[in-house]
Amino acid sequence: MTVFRAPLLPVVLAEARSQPADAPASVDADTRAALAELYARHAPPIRRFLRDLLGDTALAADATQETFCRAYRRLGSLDDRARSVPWLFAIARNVSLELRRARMRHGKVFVPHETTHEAHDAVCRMGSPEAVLLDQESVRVVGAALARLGEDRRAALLLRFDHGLAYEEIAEAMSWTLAKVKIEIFRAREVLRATLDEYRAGGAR
Amino acid sequence: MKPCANVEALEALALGDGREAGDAWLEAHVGECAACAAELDRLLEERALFVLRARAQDASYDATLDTDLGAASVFAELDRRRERFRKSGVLASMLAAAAACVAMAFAPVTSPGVRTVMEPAQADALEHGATASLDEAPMTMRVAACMPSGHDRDACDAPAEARAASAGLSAMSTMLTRTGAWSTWPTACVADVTCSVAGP
Repeated sequence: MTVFRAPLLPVVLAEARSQPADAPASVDADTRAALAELYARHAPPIRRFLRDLLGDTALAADATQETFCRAYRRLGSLDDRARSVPWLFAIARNVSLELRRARMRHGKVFVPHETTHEAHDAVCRMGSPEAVLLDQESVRVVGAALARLGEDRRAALLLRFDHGLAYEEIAEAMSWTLAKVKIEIFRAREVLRATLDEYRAGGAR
Repeated sequence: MKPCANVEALEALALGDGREAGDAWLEAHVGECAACAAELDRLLEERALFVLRARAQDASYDATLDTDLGAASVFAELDRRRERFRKSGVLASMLAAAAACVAMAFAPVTSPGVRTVMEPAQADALEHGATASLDEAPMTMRVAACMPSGHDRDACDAPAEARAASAGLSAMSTMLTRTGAWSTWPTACVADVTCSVAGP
């Protein structure tokens, strides 16, 4: 009896070598230029957004890099470059959610970074004493308000007031309905106003 | 006192959202309505706080975030991942090949050209007619098969169980190929097949 043994090894090797759709491919010059432009334009706000969500400067830097790595891999799915802002923020938020989950597993929690010396040192390096004072106050008040918000609501408020995204763009970035965006921003604004009122009354330190 | 104008419209005005069509009316209205003017002032103040804060934070980035260096770091990370993927791909293929070779060496060969991992009951059912057994729905079968083309199953002197298995596989492959469910047949030598055949 002849036992047929199929040439399995080449088949298995060929299957294992076949790359999945999202496998990293070499970066051609055009893509490199597109990504560099995207980075130059959007890296600072993305990093600020991530820092606000994660409360950690070093982690935000890593998350920014991860955001743009993912953006590169999905660059082909971006039909309209004009929609790149909500698209990038959506990626950034997903990255932050994953990092937060990972940190929660290790028992770490969100700490508003405005309370660190770094933010105060940063504003002290700037301009006139009035400007320094204004910036310090804004960092403190907004930071106090953000610390009172849950992650989702904080993200929505930041996207609207800090990054100036339209409601429709926020809905796209957060994968929410427009109605939910309006409700979340309304409630976040209430918290912001309450914090501002406390600040004026001498609280919110 | 609550503003009479839509707060979202006022917010858009404060944030400079570019709602030119409604802006003129709204600006005129704000000039006349104290409640809406107060609301717009609050929104402008809130926006200003965020702008000032962003300016302060971005200033702290200047020392650490050089955009050219940042973009270069992304490219470097992509290169690292590509290399890691290549290495892990080679490792995975070697492991898969080794596992396949071990499986080939130890799995029972039940028929010339056919290697099956079947429940005895399934093989028995197939021996008494593949069509009848396929009508018993739903049937789930996990099959690892290597089937050479041109194998003469009728002339095969393999044990009855193996011939039944061969017939069953043949019927399944015909059906699955026809329905497109087994799209890799016959090029894939190793296939995990879940076959759910509806009853008559």
